[in-house]
Amino acid sequence: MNPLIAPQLPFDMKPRAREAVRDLKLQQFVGNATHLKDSQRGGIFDRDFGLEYDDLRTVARDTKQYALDHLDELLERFIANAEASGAHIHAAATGRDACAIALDIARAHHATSCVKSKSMVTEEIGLLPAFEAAGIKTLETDLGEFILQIDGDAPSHIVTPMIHKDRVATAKSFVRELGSRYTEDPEELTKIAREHMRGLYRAADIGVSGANFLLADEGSAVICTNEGNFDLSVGGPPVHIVFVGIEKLIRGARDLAPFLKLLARSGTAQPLTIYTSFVRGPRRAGEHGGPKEVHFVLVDAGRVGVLASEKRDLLRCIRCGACLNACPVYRKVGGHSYGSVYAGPIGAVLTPELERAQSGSNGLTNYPDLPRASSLCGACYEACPVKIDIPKFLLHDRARLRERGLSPASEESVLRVWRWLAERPALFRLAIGAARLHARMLGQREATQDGDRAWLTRAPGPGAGWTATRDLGFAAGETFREWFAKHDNARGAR
Amino acid sequence: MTARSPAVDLLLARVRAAVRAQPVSVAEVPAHTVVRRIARDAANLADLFAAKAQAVGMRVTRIDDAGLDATLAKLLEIRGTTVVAVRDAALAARASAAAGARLAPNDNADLLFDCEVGVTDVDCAIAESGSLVVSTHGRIRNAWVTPPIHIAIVRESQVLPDLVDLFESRPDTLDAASTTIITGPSKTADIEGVLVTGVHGPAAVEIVLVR
Amino acid sequence: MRVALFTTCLAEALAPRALKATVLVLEHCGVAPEVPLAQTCCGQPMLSNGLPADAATLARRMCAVFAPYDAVVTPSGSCASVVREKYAGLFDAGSADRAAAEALAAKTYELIEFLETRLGVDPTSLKGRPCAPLTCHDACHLRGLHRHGCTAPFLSRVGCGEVRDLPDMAQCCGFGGMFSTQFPEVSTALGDEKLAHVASTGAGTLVASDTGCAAHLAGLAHRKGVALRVISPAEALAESLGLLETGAPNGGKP
Repeated sequence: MNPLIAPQLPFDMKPRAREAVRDLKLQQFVGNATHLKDSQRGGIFDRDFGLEYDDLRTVARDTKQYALDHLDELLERFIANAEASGAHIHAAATGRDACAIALDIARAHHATSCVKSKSMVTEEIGLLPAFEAAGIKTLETDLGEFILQIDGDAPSHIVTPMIHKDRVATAKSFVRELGSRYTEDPEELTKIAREHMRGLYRAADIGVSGANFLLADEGSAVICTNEGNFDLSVGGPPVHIVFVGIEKLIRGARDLAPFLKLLARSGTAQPLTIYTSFVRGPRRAGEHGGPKEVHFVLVDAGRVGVLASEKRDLLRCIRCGACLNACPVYRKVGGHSYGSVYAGPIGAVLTPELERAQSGSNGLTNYPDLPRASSLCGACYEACPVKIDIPKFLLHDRARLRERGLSPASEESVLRVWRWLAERPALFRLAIGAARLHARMLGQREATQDGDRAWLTRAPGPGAGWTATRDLGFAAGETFREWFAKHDNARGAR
Repeated sequence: MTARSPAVDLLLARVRAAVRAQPVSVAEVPAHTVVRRIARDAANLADLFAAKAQAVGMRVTRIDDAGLDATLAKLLEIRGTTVVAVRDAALAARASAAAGARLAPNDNADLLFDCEVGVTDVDCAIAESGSLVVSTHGRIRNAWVTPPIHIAIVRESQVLPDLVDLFESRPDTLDAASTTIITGPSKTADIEGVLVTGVHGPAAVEIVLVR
Repeated sequence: MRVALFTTCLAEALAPRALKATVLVLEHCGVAPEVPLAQTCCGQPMLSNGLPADAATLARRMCAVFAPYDAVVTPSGSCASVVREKYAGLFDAGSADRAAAEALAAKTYELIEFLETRLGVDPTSLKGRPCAPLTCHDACHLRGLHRHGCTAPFLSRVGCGEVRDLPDMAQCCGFGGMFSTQFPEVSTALGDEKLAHVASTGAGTLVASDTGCAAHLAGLAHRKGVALRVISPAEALAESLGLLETGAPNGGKP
C-alpha cells in the first residue's frame, strides 16, 4: 500500500489530523467539495424520489443484505454463468494471491504494458507496485488517479480521489512528467492527459478494472464510470482482468435498478453515471473488437471474515462516498488521515475489520484511533443508501478498544468513578458541587443577567484537551434543586 | 463445465461456512415497486426522452424517417473519418451512404482511434434518464466511445419508460460481451471540481430521434 | 398525568437556568413537573466510550427512578436520545431490564417535542412576545428523535421574534462528548466553523438544543472574547413567554 496512505502501523491518526486541520488549502478544497456534494445529494433525492427516498434505501438495504446472507448460492451461480459466457474465474484469498494471479496471466501473454481503470480493490492489494516490479508499465487512466500516479501521490476519497489536490500542483507535475506546456486550465489539462493516453490505450497488452456489482444470474460485471476510460481500457487490449471483492455480488440484473438509481445520486448527485457498462465474457464469435480473454479475480482479502462476523452489514457498502461527504470529521481531516485505502466513516469501521479478518489479530491494535475519530453525529448513517449503521459499529469498536486496553486508562478511570458516584445520589451531588466550587475558586467570575457564571480556563487530566482552546462555564449561584425546592413549596402553598 | 481450481473451491467452502456463521436477516428480496419513476404506460415517452437527453448534454434532432438521410448527411459533412456501427442492416446502409467518402471500415477496432465520428443505432433507449443502450451484438465494440463524436440513431418505438424496464423487458440487451448505458458525453470534475466535458470518451453526443 | 423532569448531570452542573425554564414552561402549559431527587446520570458518557456494562448499571437505575411517571421530559436532547435509542440495546431481548428500558424510552421526550407531540400544544396559541434576534443550532442527536430542524419553526410560531436561519445547521458543532477532548483540534475547528456561521446571521443569541453543544460553543466564544449568548430552547421559550427575564451576552452589560 502507498506509504502516503499508511506510513506505519499501529497507525497514529492524531498527528495527521492535527496537520490536516492546520492546512488551510486542504480545509478549503475538501470542505467545499464535500459540502457541495452532500447538499446536491440531498437535492437530487428530494427532486427525484421525495418522500419515497427512505423506502428506496430500505429496498436497497434488504436486497443487498439478502445477497450477503445467501452469498454462497450467488457465488456458485455467478461462477457457473460467468464460465458459461467464456470468462475465466480465479479466487484470491489474499491481496498477494490476487497480484500473483494477475502476474501469471500477464506472463502467459508476455505483457509489458497495462492500462487500468479506477478500482479501490487494486489499491488494497497493491497491484500497481507488483506490476511495475515485474516490468509491466501500468497507466492509471481515470484522470484523478492518473494525476496522482504521475505525482507520486495517493487517492484520498473513494469517488473523487484527488479532492485534496489543486490545479497548480497538477499543472506543475504535467510539465515535469509529461513535458507539456504549463497551463492551469482544467479543460486544457484534461486534453493533455487525454492525448497522452490515446496511444497507450491502443498499445496496451492488458486492461485492468474493478467492478461495482457482480450479477449472479448473468455472470456479468457492472462498472459505473464517467470519463470513458473504462471502456477504452478494457475494450481494446486482448486481455481484460476484473478485480472485484466478493461482496459486490447481487442476484442479477433484476435487482440492479435500485443500486444504479442510488449510487450516482449518493456520490455525485447524478441520476446515473455517464457510462454504466456490462461485461459478459470475452468477445463472441462474429463480434468485432473486445478482449479475447476475460478474467475475474474474486478477492477475499478479509471479506469472508467480515461476512462471518457480527459486522456483516458493512459489506453492503456500494462505495458511493456519500458518508465521506457528509462526515464533519472527514471534512476537516481529509482522506489521508485514515491510514488506509478506505477513508471516512466506512473506512473507520471497515479497515479494522478487514485487518482483523486477514491477520487474525485484533485489527484495532493497528488502528486504535479510528473508532474514536467521530462525534457520533449520525450524518453518515443518514447519508448511506444501504442504511449501514456506522455509529453502532463505532460504539461496538470503542467497547472492544476498552476490553483490549487500547484506550487511555485515565479516561476509563474518570468514567468508572463517575459511574460509581452516579449510583450514589448524595455523593453525586457533592461531586457536582465540588466541580462548581473548583470553578468558582479557580475560574473567572462573571456576572451576567442570565446569572453568575464561573469560567474554568484550565482543567485537569483528560479535561486539558478542552481547556486548551475553550473555557468551561459553570453556573455559580444557587443550584437548580435549591431553586426548585423553594419553587415547589411556593407552588404547593398556592 | 471446466474443472474448478482448488482456490475457487476453497473460497466457496469458506463462504458457505461464513454465511452460516450469522443468522439470515433477510429471507426474501423485497418488492422493488418504489424504484420505478416512470409508469409502464406513461405517455409521450419520446418527448420525455428528448428532454432528459438534452438535460444531460446530448443534442437531440427529431425527424421523420424520410428526413433521416439528409439529417445524417448534414451532421457528417463537416466531419472527418466516420465509422458506422449499426446493427440494423437497412439503417447501416443509409448511414454509410451519408458518410460517403469519409467512411471507415467497421471491423477493425484499432482504426476507431483514427475516426472522428462513430455512428451507431441503439438496442433501446430510456426515457427516465435520457439514456442510450448500445451493445456489441451486431456492432463493433467501442464505436460509441473511441471517436470524439458519437451520433446515435434512435427510433421513438425503441424508447422504454424507466431503467427498470430495461432489466424487466429487455434482457436480450445484456446478452452480449459488452453493453453500455450511455447518459451523456464523457465528463470529469476531478480537477478542483471543475466540470470538463470530453475526457477519454466523446465530447459530443448527437441523437437523431426518428418518429 | 405525572410528569418527571429529567435534569441530566450536565444541566445541573452547567445550565440550571435551562432546567428552571423547563419547569416554568411546563407549568405555563398546565403541567406540574416533579423532580425525582434520586436521579443522577443517564450513562451516556460510558456508553459512548466503550463501557456498556457501566452504562447498563446507570440505565437500570434510571428506569427505576422514573418508573412511577407517565412522561419524562428533559431540556437536553442527547440524554433523551440515549434513553430512546440506546437503552434497550444494553439488555438482552426478553429480559425484564429490556422491558423496563423500552417502557422508559416510550415515555421520554425532549421539551419542545413533549409540548408539540404529547401535549399537542399549538405554538401560535402561546402568544410569545418578541425577543432579541436569535438563531438555532439543532444538535445531531435530534436526528434520531426525528426532531432535527424543529426548534426554529416552533420558536418562530410561538412569536419569539426574528429566528434567523443558521447556515449549514446540519453540520456537527464538534462537541461529540469525549471526542471534544480526544480530538481537540478537530472539535475546535468544527466549533469555530459553527460560530462563524452564527456570527454571519448577526444574531446575538444562539439557541442550542443540547447542553454539551452549548457548553462547547459558549466556551469557544468566551475564550475568543466573542459576545454571544448561548441558551437552551427552554430558556428561549420561557423568555418569550415572560416567565424568565431576558439576559445579556456573556460578559456584556445589559
